[in-house]
Amino acid sequence: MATHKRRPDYNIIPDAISRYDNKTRLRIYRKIVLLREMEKEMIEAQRKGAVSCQLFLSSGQEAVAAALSEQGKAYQYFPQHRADDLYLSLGGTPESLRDELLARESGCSGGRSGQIGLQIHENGLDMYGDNLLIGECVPRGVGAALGSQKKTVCIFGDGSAEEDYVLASLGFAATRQLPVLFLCMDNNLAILTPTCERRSWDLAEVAKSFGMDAYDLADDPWSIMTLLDSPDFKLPAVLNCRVCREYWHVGIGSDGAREWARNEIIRQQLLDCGLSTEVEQIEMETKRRIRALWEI
Amino acid sequence: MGNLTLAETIQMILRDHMENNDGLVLGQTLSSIGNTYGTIPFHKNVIEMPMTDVAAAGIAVGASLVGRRPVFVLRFQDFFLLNSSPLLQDAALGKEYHGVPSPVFIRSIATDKSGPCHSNVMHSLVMQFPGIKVCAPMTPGEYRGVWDHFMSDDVPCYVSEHRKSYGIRDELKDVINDEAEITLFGILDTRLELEAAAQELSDQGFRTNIVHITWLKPLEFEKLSLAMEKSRIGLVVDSSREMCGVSRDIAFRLMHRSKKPVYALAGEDYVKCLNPAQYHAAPDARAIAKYALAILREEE
Repeated sequence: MATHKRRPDYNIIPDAISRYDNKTRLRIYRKIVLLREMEKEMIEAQRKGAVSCQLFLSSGQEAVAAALSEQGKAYQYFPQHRADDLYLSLGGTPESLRDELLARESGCSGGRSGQIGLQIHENGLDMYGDNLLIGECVPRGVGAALGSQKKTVCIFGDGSAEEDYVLASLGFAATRQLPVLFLCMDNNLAILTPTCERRSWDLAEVAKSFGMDAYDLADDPWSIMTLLDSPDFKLPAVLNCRVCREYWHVGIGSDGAREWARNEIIRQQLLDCGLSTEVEQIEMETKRRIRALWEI
Repeated sequence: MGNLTLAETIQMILRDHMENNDGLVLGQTLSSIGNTYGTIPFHKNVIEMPMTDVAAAGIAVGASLVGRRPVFVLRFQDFFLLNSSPLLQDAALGKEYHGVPSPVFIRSIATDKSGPCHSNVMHSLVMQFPGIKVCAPMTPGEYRGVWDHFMSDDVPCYVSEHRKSYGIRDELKDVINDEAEITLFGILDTRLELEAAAQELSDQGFRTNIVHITWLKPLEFEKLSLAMEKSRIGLVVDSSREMCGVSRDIAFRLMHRSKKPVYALAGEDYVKCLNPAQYHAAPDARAIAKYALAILREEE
């Protein structure tokens, strides 16, 4: 896969942050900080043995989820197993997430599914839990769109994109012109195998060949929000977002520095907007809240 | 309903489902082979799926999540091996795992003597998985009962159908006499062989009872157990494989309950070839009678 696509400004809309007011900017940042603080505590809880289920951590890709969540109830959501970023961004409570990881009945899936089945079904919002068969959320989401004609987003990784049923689902959605957004969180790895060793084709190009619109860009939330809110944006569509995750496919290990750190880029953008006080307040409040949450 | 064939009954049920429940019917090439043996009505809610097995099943599961109670049609039960992942690992576990039910009605059509990949019966395999109900109706009345159960329930249902059943108009009645020598318990198409097998056994001097099994999971166990009270020996006959199959499972349970010998006769552990000498087809009346005679004499 062409390495020029692995960069933080790949196909983003220059200065897209300027399209949003400070309230929106800070709301996005709050979601990012919440996910990152939550995962820090989750890692610590696993180190201490309090959390025994497998962890599929999102840190590094959370800006995409934060941007997507701005769509709120306009969509129904079919994420994969790595979904704590979307869960929290959509308003799932940290308490329910914590309890799910601790196998408590008060968890968002009754404590039965650990991190892989995070779900929300309340207040008109539907985020469906996954079962850890990668990419199977995609045909399910397409079926839900077929059945309801409601806008639906299926979220999967660049490895899942290679599953035969994912490609077939793209074709079906294109044929039926279903209102589905296929969102690929592309970190260029299937566990540790780079995309270039697995396939020669590009998801966005394949989607175009199916006759749907496709976008391929880095994980800049302002660009993603601009795109999704554009009157020209129509479904079905593929959105391939280039992301850099911090942790392994599963577990709390890390292979060192990321290619870029979107959260730090966004933080600097907010500071450049003169929001340093608000940024620090969000960070402090969130850290305090999440730490208290995990004092168990 | 009494004068309708099973195919006409299914068509009527599906039409009613689509018109009154906004239900969906999904499957591949549904309009071919006489609208799937005359079971599929013309309706806008019949969705011709592309030739993609796994994705199609997943799409059916998704439709179930949003309340459409889809009917998913498999032209050959063998194809369940391809379709099974979304159905068994998504739909079947949805209620217990997530508390989100996923009721899909899976019409899985069996046939025989059609080679290694089109002649197998999968209901025993499906029964291994939690969260899904399994049945094998052969008559209009049984099918109506299965459908009504599905509509009042919220879990997926695997309906093991057989091509031989679609022309059936009349119900298949149990035959229960006191002090029978043997009771033949039949599943799916083997049920159509029981009467002839029983006649042959009677001709040999063995009083024979017949019990038809529709629900496999949950099993109509009490009904079967009561039948065993009136019989010296039991024989469970099925067209799915005997090894690790429902026939042995039922025989095992009945034997424990009744303290009487109960045997199983079902598909053999061979590849079903297209050479007639190696069809390895489901047990027919002759095979059932032959096996029953052997065990009757052995138990004497």
